[in-house]
Amino acid sequence: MLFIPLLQENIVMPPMMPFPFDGPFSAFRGPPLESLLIELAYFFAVAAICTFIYLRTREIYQLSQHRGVFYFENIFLFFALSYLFRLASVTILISEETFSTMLPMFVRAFALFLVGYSSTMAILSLAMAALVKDVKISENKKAPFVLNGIAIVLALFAAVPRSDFILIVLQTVLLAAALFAVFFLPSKEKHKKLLSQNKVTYILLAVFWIINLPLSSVPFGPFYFKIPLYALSIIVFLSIFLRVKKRLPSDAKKKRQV
Amino acid sequence: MQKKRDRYEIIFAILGIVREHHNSIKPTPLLRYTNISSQSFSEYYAELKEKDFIREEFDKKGRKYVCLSDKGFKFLEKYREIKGFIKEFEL
Repeated sequence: MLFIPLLQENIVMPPMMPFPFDGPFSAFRGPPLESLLIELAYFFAVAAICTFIYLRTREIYQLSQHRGVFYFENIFLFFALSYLFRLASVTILISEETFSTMLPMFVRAFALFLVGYSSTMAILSLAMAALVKDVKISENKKAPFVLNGIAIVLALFAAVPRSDFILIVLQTVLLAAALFAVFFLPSKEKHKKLLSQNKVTYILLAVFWIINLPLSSVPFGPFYFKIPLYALSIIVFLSIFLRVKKRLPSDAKKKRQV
Repeated sequence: MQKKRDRYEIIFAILGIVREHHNSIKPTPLLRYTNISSQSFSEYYAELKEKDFIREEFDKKGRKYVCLSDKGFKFLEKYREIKGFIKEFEL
């Protein structure tokens, strides 16, 4: 809403593009306020869980300096940022659709860059957390710089042409490469489980994010699809939250138990 | 045969020995009690000092003693949580 006075004076509006879900699905389009509320609720749920996990694991990392814990806490730091930037993108789109305005292209490109960078970092951190036991490179102190470099390059590839589609394709390829590494690289463990609870959770986090990406470019997208997907995504985050809470109880709780 | 101790178990052992000796022990007995090679001990010792888990103090005669820092005490307190967390999430 804040952008409208600025834009209406300076920019000649292009004709409205047809809505992607027009046609047989148009009945499932939500009004702007409801769409925004759903996005806000989803963002706050995910951001609160991610922030809790990040803060709880931060102290453990500071004490142990364990590389695995470092990548684990980074997963939630970058997912929180990804969902924040995603919310910003969705808000921009909802404002544009509702008030028939167009923001300057660089704003969209910058928003997409931030979404692309933070989510790629989250996916790379997921891969590193899953591989930290088996791959020596994850112990390397230069590895975080390499990961940042990869994330910046991938985000630029998507942001320069302002294409969500390119970001989705790149992140899907990245996820496939990570899955290959997790399942097919030789392990130090003698009896390595092919699918552990953690691996399934990590895969679900990444998959939900990638499914979420096209939905963010359809802010009035079908509620019948969005709401169950968002609920499932929150359940996955919640399952990790409960396990972290169980393993790392707060000091106040420990005092009560004593 | 006893299982080889991992890195965190050795760190926990070194810090635990310092605490058991009223938070003041000379480096040579500390090496003896930890039961690791002197080369490994030097590496662990340097790392613990660098990460501020231990500090060195000198008495009037200039003899060196090893003491735990606040961070060292906190590590000992949180050790089981850290181990449990790393195991739970296979890190």
